[in-house]
Amino acid sequence: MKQRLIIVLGSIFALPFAYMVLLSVAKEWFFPALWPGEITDFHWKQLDGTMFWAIGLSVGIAFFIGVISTLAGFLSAYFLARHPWRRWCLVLAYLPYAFSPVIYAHCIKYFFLVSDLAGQVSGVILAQFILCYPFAFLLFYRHFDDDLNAMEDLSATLGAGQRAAFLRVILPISKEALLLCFAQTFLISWFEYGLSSVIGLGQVRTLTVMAYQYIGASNQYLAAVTACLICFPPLLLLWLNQRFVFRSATVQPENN
Amino acid sequence: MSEFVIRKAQFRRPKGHGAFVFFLCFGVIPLGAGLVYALLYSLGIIGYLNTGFTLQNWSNALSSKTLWSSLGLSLGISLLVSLVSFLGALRLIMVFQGDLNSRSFRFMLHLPLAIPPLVAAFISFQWLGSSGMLARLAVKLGWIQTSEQFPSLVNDPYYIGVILTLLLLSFPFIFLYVLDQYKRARLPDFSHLAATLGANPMQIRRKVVRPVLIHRVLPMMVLYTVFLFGSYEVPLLLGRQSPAMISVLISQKFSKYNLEDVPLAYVGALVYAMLLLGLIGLFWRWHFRRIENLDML
Repeated sequence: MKQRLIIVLGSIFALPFAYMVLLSVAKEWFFPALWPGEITDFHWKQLDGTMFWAIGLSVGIAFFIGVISTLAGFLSAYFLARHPWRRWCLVLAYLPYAFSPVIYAHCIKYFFLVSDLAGQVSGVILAQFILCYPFAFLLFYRHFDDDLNAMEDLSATLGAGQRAAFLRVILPISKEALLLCFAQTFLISWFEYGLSSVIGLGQVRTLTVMAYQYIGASNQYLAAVTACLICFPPLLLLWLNQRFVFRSATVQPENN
Repeated sequence: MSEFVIRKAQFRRPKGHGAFVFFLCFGVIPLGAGLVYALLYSLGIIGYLNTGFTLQNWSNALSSKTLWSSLGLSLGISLLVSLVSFLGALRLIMVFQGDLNSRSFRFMLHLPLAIPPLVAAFISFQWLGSSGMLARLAVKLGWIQTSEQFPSLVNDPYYIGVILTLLLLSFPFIFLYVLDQYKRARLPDFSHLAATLGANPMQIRRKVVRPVLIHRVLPMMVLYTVFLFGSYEVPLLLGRQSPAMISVLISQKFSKYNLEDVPLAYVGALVYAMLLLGLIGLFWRWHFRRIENLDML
């Protein structure tokens, strides 16, 4: 029973990927055929300069957002760890995170228009940063708990300067949290459609914007190719995560 | 540690005022400025067609059925998806008794997390539509002859396509979270203890596992429901034009060429923001009280 349930669930979760790949290599797949008439690499060969530009742009934006959001979130949480308004920062950080990105984008679009950032890559980067930064801060907020603060105090008591304590104590301990935050913010940026399309005015053509345009144009084959490209980095990150980061990690029961 | 040592050690770290200003600039002010702009626009103080202060836009928006049906629909769908995902996760954990340590199974559970909502909606469109894969399967099985005979689950009045797609995206995440909490709370140990003390499996589920898990996952479930409340890509592709989920409705009003709809869109955004603030405020009031009780902060 358990084994059967695992197989059913596994099939449901794996099916979308199999279908996307199959659709991207199908030459003609009309109703009511259950299987494409012919398998071809025709749609993949249609990847032109525009698509390569979209891939490069999406990778560039997501990587940049991942790096700066992680750094900004980490440093903010570190310096705010003993700030008297620390708890208020936590409450306030939840708002942009919980707010629908597309409604958020419409509310702030005016400021991007008057500062000539709308329709620009820099505008999309800034908009994504103000979405990802509070999220990164939230991730690191719990990281800088009393134990970590006490550890820094201890290293200061033992003679380490602030720089040494930060570089040799805080950073090495935070390596996994930094990696996790980078992966999460990279993925938020990579998956982002609503905010990018509103602030980018459809002119900043990231992969998700391209995918939506193909879907809107009823070009299901190229939409499937784009969908495969969108899903590849998260799958790679998932595999790397499974293979290296959490290989030895197990859930520890709480003692309280 | 003596007071002197503590003061000496803490002196080394800056007060964090610069970080606080940075946090305000990029974490708070953009949203605050957007909401203030929306308020001024909705009150007719700024904006292209506005001539001066008026409450007409608010009156029009709040008296229209569209906004309320849209909010009700979003709330209903987000609550339904969260509840079904949570109950499904709970049931599955009971069936497996938390015995889900297989790496391949955990990897499989993570797979849907690699699908963005836009792609999930596209796949659902391909599967649930009247000429989709399910319809083809029905033809193959002899249940229907033409695509028109298949009840389309895309853009349907009951939002079945949207609900199924959101469930596909939500369930693995919620399941993994509930499983994590199940282990962190040492519920397998407590279940064994309860069994030793004479509790039957039903009593263990009802009196031990369920109350502890509900208490632990409730804050995250509230946040996740709020997150689902603002879903955009899935209802955009699979939902109906009217009633539309709140993100889609507001986006439609902003994107239309009729400039008279823009103030109404801002009113919708503000009502959404107020609801969100209320929910998060309630959540925090409860959460902080709980944390203070546990003396964890």
